[in-house]
Amino acid sequence: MMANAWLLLTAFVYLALLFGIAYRTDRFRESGKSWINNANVYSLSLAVYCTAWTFYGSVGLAASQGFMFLPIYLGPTLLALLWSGVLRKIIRIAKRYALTSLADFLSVRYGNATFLGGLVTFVAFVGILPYISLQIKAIGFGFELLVEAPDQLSTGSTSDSTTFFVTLVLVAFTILFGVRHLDATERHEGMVAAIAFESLIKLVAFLACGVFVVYGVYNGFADLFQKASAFPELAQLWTLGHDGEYEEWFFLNLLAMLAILLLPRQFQVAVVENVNERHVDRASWLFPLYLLLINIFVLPIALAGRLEFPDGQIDADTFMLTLPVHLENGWIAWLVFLGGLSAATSMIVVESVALSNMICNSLVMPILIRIPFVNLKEGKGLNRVLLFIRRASVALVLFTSYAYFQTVSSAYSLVSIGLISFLAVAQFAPALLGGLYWRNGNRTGALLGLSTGFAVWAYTLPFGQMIQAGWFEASLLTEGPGGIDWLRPIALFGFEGAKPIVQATFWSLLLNTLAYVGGSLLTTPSRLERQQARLFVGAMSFSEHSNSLQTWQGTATPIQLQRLLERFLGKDHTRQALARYATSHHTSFADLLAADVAEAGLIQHTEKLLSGSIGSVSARIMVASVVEEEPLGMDAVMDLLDATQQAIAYGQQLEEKSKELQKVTDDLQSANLRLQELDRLKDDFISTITHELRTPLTSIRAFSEILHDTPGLPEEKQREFLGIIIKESERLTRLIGQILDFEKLESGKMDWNPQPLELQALCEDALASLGQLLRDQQIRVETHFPETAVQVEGDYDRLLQVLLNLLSNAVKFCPKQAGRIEVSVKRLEEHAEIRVKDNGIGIPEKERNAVFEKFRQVQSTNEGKPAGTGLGLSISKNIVEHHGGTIGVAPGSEYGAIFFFTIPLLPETPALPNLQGGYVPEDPDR
Amino acid sequence: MRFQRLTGMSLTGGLVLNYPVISVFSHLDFSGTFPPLYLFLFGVWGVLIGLTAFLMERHGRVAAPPEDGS
Amino acid sequence: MSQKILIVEDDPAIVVSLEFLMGQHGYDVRVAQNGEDGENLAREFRPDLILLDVNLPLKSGFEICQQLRSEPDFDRTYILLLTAKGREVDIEKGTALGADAYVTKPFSTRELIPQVQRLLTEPRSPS
Repeated sequence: MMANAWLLLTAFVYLALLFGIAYRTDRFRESGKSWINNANVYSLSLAVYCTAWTFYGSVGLAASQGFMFLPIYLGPTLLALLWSGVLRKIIRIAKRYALTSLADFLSVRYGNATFLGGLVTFVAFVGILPYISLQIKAIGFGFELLVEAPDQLSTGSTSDSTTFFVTLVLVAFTILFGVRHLDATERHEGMVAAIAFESLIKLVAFLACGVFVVYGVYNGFADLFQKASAFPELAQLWTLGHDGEYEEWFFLNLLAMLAILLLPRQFQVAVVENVNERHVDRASWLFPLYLLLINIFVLPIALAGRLEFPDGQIDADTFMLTLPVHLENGWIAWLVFLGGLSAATSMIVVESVALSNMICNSLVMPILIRIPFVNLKEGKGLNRVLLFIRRASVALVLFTSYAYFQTVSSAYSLVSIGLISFLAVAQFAPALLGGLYWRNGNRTGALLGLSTGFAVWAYTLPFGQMIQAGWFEASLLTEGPGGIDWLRPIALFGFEGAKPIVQATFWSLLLNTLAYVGGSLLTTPSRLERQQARLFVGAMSFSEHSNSLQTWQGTATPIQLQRLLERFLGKDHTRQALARYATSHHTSFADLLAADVAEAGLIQHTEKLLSGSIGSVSARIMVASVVEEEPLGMDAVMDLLDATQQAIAYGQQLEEKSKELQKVTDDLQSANLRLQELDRLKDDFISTITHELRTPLTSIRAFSEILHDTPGLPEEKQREFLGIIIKESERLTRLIGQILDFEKLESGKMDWNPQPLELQALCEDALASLGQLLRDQQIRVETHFPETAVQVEGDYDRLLQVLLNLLSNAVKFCPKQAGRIEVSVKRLEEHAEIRVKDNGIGIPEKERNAVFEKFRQVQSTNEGKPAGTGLGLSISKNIVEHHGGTIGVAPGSEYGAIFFFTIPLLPETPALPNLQGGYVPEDPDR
Repeated sequence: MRFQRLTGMSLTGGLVLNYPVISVFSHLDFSGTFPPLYLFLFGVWGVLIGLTAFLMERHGRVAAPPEDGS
Repeated sequence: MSQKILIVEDDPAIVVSLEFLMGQHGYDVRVAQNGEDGENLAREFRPDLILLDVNLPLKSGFEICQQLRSEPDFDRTYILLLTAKGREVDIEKGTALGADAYVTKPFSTRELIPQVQRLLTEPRSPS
């Protein structure tokens, strides 16, 4: 039919024309104007939805299942009615945060969830492969069909060499077309203009073919339908209801509704490439109109194909081409070929650009940016690296699709291949729609839902296809893995009788949604997630034109920002972008860079420019590396709250401190009182000591003066007076010794000479040394001693001092002429006890402890003032306690005072029962 | 208000363009040019598009500022 | 007739020395060794001058001083306080209670005798 060279030439001329349109558009844009800033162009660009599937596949499906091709276009129409709400919200958010792909969108919505972005990219990549392979297949068979005779191509299969060649050309074309350079905003106006043009060609070609068939071959619709109605198998194509078609109809509607929103290329043209949010309003009816028009002739062409090729040897997917060829209209065939080429190339280009953007920004960059030795901040010529990554991604996408086509999908019809991809991207629906309208949707839910849905999808559809393609045991389909019936990929969980796509849609979306909702409700999102959820869900309350990103509070110089941009965009693009910014802000490029500190708007603009190249999350990290930021976000607010809490905590600490201070003050006050008391006691003590010292001194001085001043004093008087002087001097010496003893005891400098001693002997010695005094005072002494020696260890001199002190006190308080003193020694369990009892005035109960305090003197005396320093008992107490004993005044005596003290017994002393000591008059002289 | 109407239209369209309504028009016989289901599907579709266009463009002329120059 | 001096003092050695000194200078001397005895003896003996120790058993020198000063019979009697406590407060207290002089122990006999002689030669006006 047509010469190979002619067709090739046509194809390349057409591609060159597209390239020219794109090129002119980009040039035009650099002058500050835009061809695509137009609602009609926007609507046409959305028609990238109509691919080779629409162009060839719809007819193919209609030829066997009638209207079942139509839900794929009715669903988008139903959703397009809602675009002025849903799509505009997505666009507003995407512009506000400079989001350039669905992966970007979802990862930012769920709190900069890098992993989620990567997962979305992966699902999109894997899910879209069949779809792209479908386009390759269509271009391939279109090409071969026109080169060779149609009746030789009954199966529509193509040779390997043709499709591989097609793939190569497509890679080159896509790279030239969509990834020629890096665009800072990730918008490709040239590409959009070209695909809008291609949409026109598609529609014109389809309508031309339809008109040719309906009116050129037949006499209008009535004639065609009448002729077809003669054949029942054809007439039933315009009815529904066979074999579960209604439920399939419903699910296909649903799938297509979601796909129009979620397919990467639709997100690209509808959201990323959108120039003006208001264009959506026009598109919400113009795009459905386009769909309606391109579908009008589908069923008629399918019927004509069935009528023209009654033997069924021709693949219905090729009717669009085989009919004009068969009817010998070369021009229509040529137009249809260009239309099919347009449908396939526009899809491939946009899809590859969208995918390479996602792969680069959401998969590769987040990894690169975290690898220390790659050091993106310092690197030079990064724009080249980025370009390379994107171009490689395009090649990867297309060659993988080619491989998929070769291995799996060549045996399937165009529509059944495309639906697999529809269901794959439909898995994004719960996370996206939930993210837009449900504030409690969180990252965990999104990850759970997407992975669950993707797993079910992969198991039921691609895996099922691979089994049918013979890669795995066929028994997996008929009996289920391991014979588990309800795990069969074509009838999961016992969903019998439905088409694979129906049950796959049902289970994957149901489980996905349940996992998303459940995961969101059962986990607590981070602070950042809650903030993002609030911003996304409430996005429509932002102004349409406020495209501000999160505000930067820090500072950077314009030069720093320029260098940062140059690393990713290259020198020229950076200069252009900054010049544009300068112009729009009524300043010059030089002035912009000369500023000491970049204004907040420029920092934001930088982040936005970078977002286009490396994705919003990475861009934010990059800008943050330059800007010394003090973010006033939720974090800052939380920090403030923390600070407040710290202040409260600090206040509590202060309160505690002041309580402690109060306590210390109280302690100090009581200590002060005690000190005052001690001071008073010390005063009294000194006063007492002074008194006691002055008294003997007075006598000594007086008699000395008398002796000196009185000549001729009788010798008898002289002797008497000198005797007094000597006695008083001794008294003075004794007093001084006591004071020194006391000082030694208090300061711990006393020398101790512990030795075994017998208490009875000690008492005898003490009484003996006081013998003269006792006799003078006519005091009767009784002793009660055990018969066996009571052995203790102690310092003899000190213990004797104690005993003498107690005895002389007793003597002092005894009534004259009628005094009586009892001294007794007793064994207790581990101690020996010595008691000294007198028949004096006794000691009031309240003073029984006080008498042992230093500086104390028992005040009330019956006869004679208390002699002594007030140190005697205090010294005794100190000595006894040093020996490990106690000293005290025994209670409950009807007359006199009973002083006692204990000393630990020596261990070897046998403990004998107490013996009543006999009444032994101590003084035989009396 | 406009978005509520559109939502209503979308839901109604979804109902009308599904079982059981479409099953009413699903029969072989037809009189005139088109089979009944063909007429019904494209008819409802066209009406939806027309209504939307009416709502959008009227609204656009009344409320929205002139579009940016193209 | 010789002037009468009462000594109220509990320390026996000091009593001996004062008794000897006053007797040596021709005064009629009586001695009491505690407060109560001293007060009683004062009423009975009617001395011209009392050498009164402050720190006495049973009744302090201050109490005796205050008591005697409140009685008109002792208007013309000189009271000379003796004390081993030399603090200012004690001196002031004694003066306020009506003592004529205050002597701190250990005193010098060479000063005490002239002080007693001076007091007893001055005409005593009723207070």
